[in-house]
Amino acid sequence: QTNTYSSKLIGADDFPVAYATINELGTQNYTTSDENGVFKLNTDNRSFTLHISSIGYVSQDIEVINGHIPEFITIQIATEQLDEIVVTALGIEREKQSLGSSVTKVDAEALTAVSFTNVVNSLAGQVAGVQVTNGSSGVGSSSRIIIRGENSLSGSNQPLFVVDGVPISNEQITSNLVNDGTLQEVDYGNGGSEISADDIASISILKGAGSAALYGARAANGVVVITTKRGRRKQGLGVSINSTLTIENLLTLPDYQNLYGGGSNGEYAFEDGIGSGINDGGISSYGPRLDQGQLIAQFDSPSTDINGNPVRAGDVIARTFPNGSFTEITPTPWESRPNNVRNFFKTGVTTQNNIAISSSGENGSSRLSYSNLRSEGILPNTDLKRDGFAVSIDQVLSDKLKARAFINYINTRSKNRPNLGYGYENVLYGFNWTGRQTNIESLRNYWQAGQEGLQHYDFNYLWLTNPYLTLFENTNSFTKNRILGNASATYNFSDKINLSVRTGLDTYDDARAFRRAVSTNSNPFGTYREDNVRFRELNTDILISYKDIINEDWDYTLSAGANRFDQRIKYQFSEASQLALPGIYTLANSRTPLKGDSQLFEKRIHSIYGTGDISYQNSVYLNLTYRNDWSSTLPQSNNSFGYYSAGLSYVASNMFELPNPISFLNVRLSAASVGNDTDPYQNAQNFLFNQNYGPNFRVTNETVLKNTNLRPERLNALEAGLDIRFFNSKVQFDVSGYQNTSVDQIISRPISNSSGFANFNVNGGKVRTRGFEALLSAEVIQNTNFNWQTSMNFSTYKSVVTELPEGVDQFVTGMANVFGGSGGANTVFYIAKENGQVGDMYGSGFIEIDGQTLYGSNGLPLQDGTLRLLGNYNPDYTMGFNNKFKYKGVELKILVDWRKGGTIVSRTKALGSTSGILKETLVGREEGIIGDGLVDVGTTDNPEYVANTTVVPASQFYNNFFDRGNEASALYSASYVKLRQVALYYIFPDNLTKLLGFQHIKFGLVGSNLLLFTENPHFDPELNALQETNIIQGVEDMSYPSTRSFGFSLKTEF
Amino acid sequence: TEDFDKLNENPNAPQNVDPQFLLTNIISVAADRNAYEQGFRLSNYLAQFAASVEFERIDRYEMGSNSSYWNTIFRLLSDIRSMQTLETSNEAYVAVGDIMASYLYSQLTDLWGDVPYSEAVKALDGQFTAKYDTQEAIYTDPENGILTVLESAATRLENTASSIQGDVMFDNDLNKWVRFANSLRLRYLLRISNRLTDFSEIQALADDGKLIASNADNAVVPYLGSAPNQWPMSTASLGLYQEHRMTKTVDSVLSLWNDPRVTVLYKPTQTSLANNTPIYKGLLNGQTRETISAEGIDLNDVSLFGSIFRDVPDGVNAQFMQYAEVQFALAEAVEKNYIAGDAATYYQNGIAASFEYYDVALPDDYFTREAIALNGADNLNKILSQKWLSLIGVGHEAWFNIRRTGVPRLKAGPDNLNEGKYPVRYLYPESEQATNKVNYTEAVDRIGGDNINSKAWWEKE
Repeated sequence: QTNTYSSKLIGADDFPVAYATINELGTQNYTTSDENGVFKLNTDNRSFTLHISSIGYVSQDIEVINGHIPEFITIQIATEQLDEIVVTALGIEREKQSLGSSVTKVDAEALTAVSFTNVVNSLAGQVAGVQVTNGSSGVGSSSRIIIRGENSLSGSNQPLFVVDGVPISNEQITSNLVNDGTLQEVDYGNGGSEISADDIASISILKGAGSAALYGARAANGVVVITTKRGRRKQGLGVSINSTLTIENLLTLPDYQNLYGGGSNGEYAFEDGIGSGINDGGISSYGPRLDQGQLIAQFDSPSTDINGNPVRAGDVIARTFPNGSFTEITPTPWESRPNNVRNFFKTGVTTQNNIAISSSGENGSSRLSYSNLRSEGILPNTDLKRDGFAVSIDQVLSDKLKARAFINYINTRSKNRPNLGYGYENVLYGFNWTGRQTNIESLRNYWQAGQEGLQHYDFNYLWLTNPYLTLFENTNSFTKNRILGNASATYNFSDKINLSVRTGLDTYDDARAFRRAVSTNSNPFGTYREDNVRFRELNTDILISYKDIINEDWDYTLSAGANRFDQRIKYQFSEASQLALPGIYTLANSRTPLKGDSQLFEKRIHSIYGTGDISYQNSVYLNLTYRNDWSSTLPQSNNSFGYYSAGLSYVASNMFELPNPISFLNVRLSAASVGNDTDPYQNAQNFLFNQNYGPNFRVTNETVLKNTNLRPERLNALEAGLDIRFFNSKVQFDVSGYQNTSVDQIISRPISNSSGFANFNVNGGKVRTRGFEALLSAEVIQNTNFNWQTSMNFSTYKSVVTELPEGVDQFVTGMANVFGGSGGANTVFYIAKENGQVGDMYGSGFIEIDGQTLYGSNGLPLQDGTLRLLGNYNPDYTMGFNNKFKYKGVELKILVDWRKGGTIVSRTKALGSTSGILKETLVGREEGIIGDGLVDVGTTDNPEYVANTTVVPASQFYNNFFDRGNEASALYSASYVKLRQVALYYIFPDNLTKLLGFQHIKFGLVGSNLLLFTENPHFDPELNALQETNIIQGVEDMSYPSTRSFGFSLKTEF
Repeated sequence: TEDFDKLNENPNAPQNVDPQFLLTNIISVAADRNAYEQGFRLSNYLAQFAASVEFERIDRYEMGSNSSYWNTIFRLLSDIRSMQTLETSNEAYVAVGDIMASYLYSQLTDLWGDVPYSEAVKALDGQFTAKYDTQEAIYTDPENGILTVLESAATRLENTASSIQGDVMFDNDLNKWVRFANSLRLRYLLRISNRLTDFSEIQALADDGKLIASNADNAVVPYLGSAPNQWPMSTASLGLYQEHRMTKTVDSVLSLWNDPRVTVLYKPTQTSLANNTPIYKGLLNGQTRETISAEGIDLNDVSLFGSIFRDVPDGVNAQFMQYAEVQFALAEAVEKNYIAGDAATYYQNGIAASFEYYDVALPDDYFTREAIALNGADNLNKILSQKWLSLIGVGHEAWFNIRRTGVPRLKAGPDNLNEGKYPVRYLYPESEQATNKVNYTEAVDRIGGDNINSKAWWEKE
């Protein structure tokens, strides 16, 4: 009896696999799938094996037993397997096995299973050697990506981002707000985040300098190569629609105490919020015990205005009699509000949609896509909106001429991005100083009675600003229009020789506006400011390639090209520091002369390069590259620098039959030396403009001492790797070891201010990074209905300073402020000492005698300004554990990552202990605290140390122990384990899909950052901090809580 | 790549400027930092003109390193060096630069002790790690000590034909710069007087007459009505202003003198205003909020600083030196028999100048009051107390005098963090440990430890 068996072939990329060949194994019974991937096979057998093969896909055998054929058959894409093609430098596609250095490819499926709003975040935990840290201001924050640790002692150490072979900007050009004195930092996101993951076909991470050398200077820290989706290879029209809806809620929040309210010494009563009541000018939480049935006057307790009309106690102006006295307040219950901060946050909602139309004809294909992102942040009145249009066209113009283009227009905007950092503009800083009894919700109506638009309403008018006013009135908005694109044409003179020309543009205009309402704490008159960033980068390449064979064993390719890079950044701002009229935000409304600046930065690099590949029997590959750059930023005499790389790959399994179970064995070696330049205008000393004094113009010296003798810096990299696979490549083990030696680094080294300058641009130092990465992946189970793929990646590295510049005993590479008070400037210093590690942090702490803290006669610890090693911010190692399960039409993906080691200096810990809001400050509240340590009862000459026995009130103790000057008392380990991604998808059965008029429907539940395990109860150790214009390491600076995100995802095609 | 040099020329900032633009910056920035951050926000606690209610831990003698002032001073010294070496500079700019540099170095050594001096501000010469000179050498080195530099600067200015522009302090009047230089020399000679045996230079200065001779000669830079040159406290947060309370010390002195200057320097208490009986009341220095709360102190019953310090943007001047200080210095020198002269005249001139400076009428009977009149045993105390009060705009000058003379006798507050001792210096900036470690360590060993109780050369017994 002949039966007809039918199934549908779906590629791992979710596209149907059309025109595949299906063979009943052992017979001449063949069939092919149609354009929807559906095939029918007629056979007499009830149990047989199907061999499915299709170009671009891995051949696969499917066993059919007793006539049970699966509804869907998923076919792996070939590029994931032996002849994996990766995009290397300049967009050149090469077989992975031919490369001498490590490249990891992340395909579209892995990028979009859980739709991250910042595509960089989707790489976290997925790739060995890649470290991603998030910004803390929610959707739209900058994420920092570091590949193989930090090679450079200064600078961002971020990799180059490349789209279709052309570099784009991943920089965050922040506004220079801190120097302004009153506005705090705002994170506008990293440039790379703006590309929709739905428009990305794959991302290759070029980890080693060996594979990146051709990209030039900016590739020294690795390259993130983004390949955009193109039109389909198949004929006809295809439409896909992907939608994701996720909600975000708090993953972390400081662990607050709920036993004592605001005040000091156990006392509090509100009168006017500036000190007329009992401790109502103070902002710490050492006040009366909560929930004892007490009634206490509070800012939201009922009162009357001077005419007897009801108002809130905090409506102080209405309550003030002409002689300065106040109306009565009716006290209200002094109750704990454990969720007052939690409830301030909203549930964030983010939707992402993408519709793509792809078509293909005889002479080419095109793809048109529209993406949008709408996100409401967890902080009230914060958002991010993004719309992107992407068009790609591939056209065969003649037999010999092919052209392709990609253009992406992206509009990103927000009505308000939250402020970060130290100060009340960061509402989390404000909550740190908000009495734990405070009903934050009652601050929502944020103007005082009769003072709308003039005076905000608050529980304290000395130090803080109502958080709702901060978020609803004091906004930081922006609109960014960006166009990035590239176009290229290739002319094939013959089979052997071709010429291609490519040009890429990345340009944007980012207009930002900052409003501050009158009565804001540090801007009592209000402020309005506009910033504008105009960025343009143009890259043009010409490349000629020649490809030939010597004989049937040997073939080779030679290419040569040239590149021109132009970058132009214009930054300007104007500010009305004090408004003339409240509530009107325009530069004309200024009661003081406008403040402003405009700056232009231009840079150009000319390059030539060449590359040669030779291979023997598809098993030995040698690749040599050379590039030379001339950079405008270096002194004319020193502005030319070369790069070279050599890679050797040996695929033993292609040459010999290897003993079972080894199915593939590849050894790779590479060596590279790459150069780097610096920023524009570093060769001559300039004077800076200061604002006028009255009509008198002022200038001052730069704080950076320039150096006219800078040389290009250089990174020498060595790498060796092994890729071995077993059991028909079902188990893969890939390891790499590398050493990066960075010499002649250009760093702006902090020097003693007594020299007249604060920093000196200098070549110097030698940093050696040695690291190790491993990837173990396996298809644990692979049968008709159930499939389990697992992979585990591991990476570790250590960067050691092996040499300091002549005559320098230690080398300060940077600093982060932990407290910038007037008396002290408590700072974390990153100091490189010979044989010290990059990332070593130094700060001050307490005097120690034999490892024990020394206390004064008052029972308080004695501070010691001597710098000591606090720890290192780098992890000992990181691991990612990725699992994919598939059962019939159900897919489950789980990604867990683990970071071990590293130290964080926490401002939340220091401030929250000082203010008494953190849970651990409950210890000793009633009975006082005896600090654990010694006290000196001897004389200056003859000290005698005995155990400290002095009891100190808890508030005093915490105030001193966690004083911001003692960085050493606020340290946490940065270790964590995170459940990073979970995605559960259901693929709709074919008949239902057809019925609905689709080719393919996939619906899923997705989540990210779902669980966090860490020793630190107050914040997510993974978040980075932004200080001034830099992302800083190892310091937590009143970060916002991180969020957990989960929701639905729908992917369709018709 | 021929155009690369041109492309890399900074279009945003000049490489060459006229010295006057640097001079304006040097004078105005130094004056502002001196008056606001140092004088008002920090040292007024040390001189007990201001008491903190919660956050300003310097009032409890947690001193910190005051590193931003250290950095500012060296940055200004770098500007001075540029101003003096520009091609368009001249002898007058050089001399004025020397005077400002001498002033700034004296700030450094009086605030921190031994500091980089002879090797400082030489990064352009390839010198990145300056040794720390002793305070004695900084003041008295016959070649390049502050006293020598000031003297030669004054002499040069008296004889030069060059002129300056951009001088927002003396309106380019070199004669006033001569007076300022000589008055500074008087200040510093008196500062190191415990170490002097020969006082003839002070006598010469007293006789010569080229000192600041009236309030019209004061070395002060006005704050302006409009940003960015406003008195910063006029736009600061309310909390910061309220952190500066009248002190018990100043309250008791002004009450003793029945001194009407209180009406300008402080505000009547909130409570007394509500009761229509304005009075002034001070708070004990160095108390925590808990102590204040436990003592039952009502902060509405404590005075704040006067309107000129808060309610208007240009109510105060940024001052380096007033005429009053010169007169008090001479009075002290006479009283101590360093020089000949009439102490009472100098003393009364000083008081009158201070009243005039604050635009307060001098009561007719003021000089005859028991607590004021110089009548024997307590003269030095009276002179130094009046001098102390006159320095309320530059609290660190008052602090230097207290460290040198012990007047007025101040007590550390109950919650001080220095074992009851009166601090005599700031810690060196932490950055020096990081960037100039060898020289830092050498200096620390020499001064007896980088702590706030290591006395300077001029105040040691």
